[in-house]
Amino acid sequence: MRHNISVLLFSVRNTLFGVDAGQVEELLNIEDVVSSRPFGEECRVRYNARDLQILDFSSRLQLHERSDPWRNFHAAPEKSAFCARNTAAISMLEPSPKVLLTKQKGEGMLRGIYIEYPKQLLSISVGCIHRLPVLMREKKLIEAIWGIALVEGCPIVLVDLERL
Amino acid sequence: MPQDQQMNEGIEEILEAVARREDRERASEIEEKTVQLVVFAFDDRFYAFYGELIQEIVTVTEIAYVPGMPDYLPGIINVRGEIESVLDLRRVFGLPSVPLTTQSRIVIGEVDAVRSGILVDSVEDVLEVPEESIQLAPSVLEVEFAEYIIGEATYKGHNLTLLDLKKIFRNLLKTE
Repeated sequence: MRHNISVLLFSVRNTLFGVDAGQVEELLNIEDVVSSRPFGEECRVRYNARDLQILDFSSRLQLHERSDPWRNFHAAPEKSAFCARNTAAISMLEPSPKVLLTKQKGEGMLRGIYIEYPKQLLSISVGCIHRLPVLMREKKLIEAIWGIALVEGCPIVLVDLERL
Repeated sequence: MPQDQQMNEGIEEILEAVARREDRERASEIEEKTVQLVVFAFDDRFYAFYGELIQEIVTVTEIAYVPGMPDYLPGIINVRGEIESVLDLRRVFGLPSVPLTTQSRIVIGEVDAVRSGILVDSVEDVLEVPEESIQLAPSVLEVEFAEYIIGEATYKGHNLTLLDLKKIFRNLLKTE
């Protein structure tokens, strides 16, 4: 029985996300794949003699449409240190946006996803992974969101790259 | 009349009076069934949920954003290792959101295994009121979210509107 899963943690628009590291092939430098295009522009390019389709994580998760008055609230005294550390713009791995290359099952087109800042590779106990609360399970508009990991008191949204 | 007999009659009268008073009090308790209410402020008015549906009241720490949710579900909070959704009642009722303040609170409600935090402007009180003091005035049926109103009572000289949490959850779970 699996007790831990390895999760790649990254932030996009100051929100922490995690993906099963088993779905990730590689983190690519932007300039190595799409040097001439604006960051976030979805496109198809050639990479290692194969077609690579690059999706924008931010638009797939509708982060552009976000409007929240919560960001104006600075009175929260219990903000998790883990959250604060990991939503800072400077990465613990490399301080630059990346294209996350997903693991490919067949010989088809490669798939990449623009993310902003890769943070950490974490081993998370399955006991720390929660289902979405019932109202959210019923109302979610994005199938790719499958759960929440709670790490040092900090909730991390877990995303299934295959359903993105 | 002998003195002993007079004294016994006096005691009997007192005991009968006590018994009558206790009967009256019991009858009064039966008549005045009370309910517990959690009173909160919202949009400059007082509202309440039945206290039996509220598990706890927490201060607002960080609301973690979850993408792809309706705007009335702005995120989640961590309450001692449990993840709770946060429901913005203003949005449910079609009102604009307002910035959080230090008075903002999240009340954790649970009805029929549906559980969620509910964001309110402030929590004012937890009190017992006679059930019969909650009445449905025709005027409340004209407000936009009338379908969620159980009735009204008076709190500190103001109207207090009792909201139907069960119906709020049930309607949210309906397929839109």
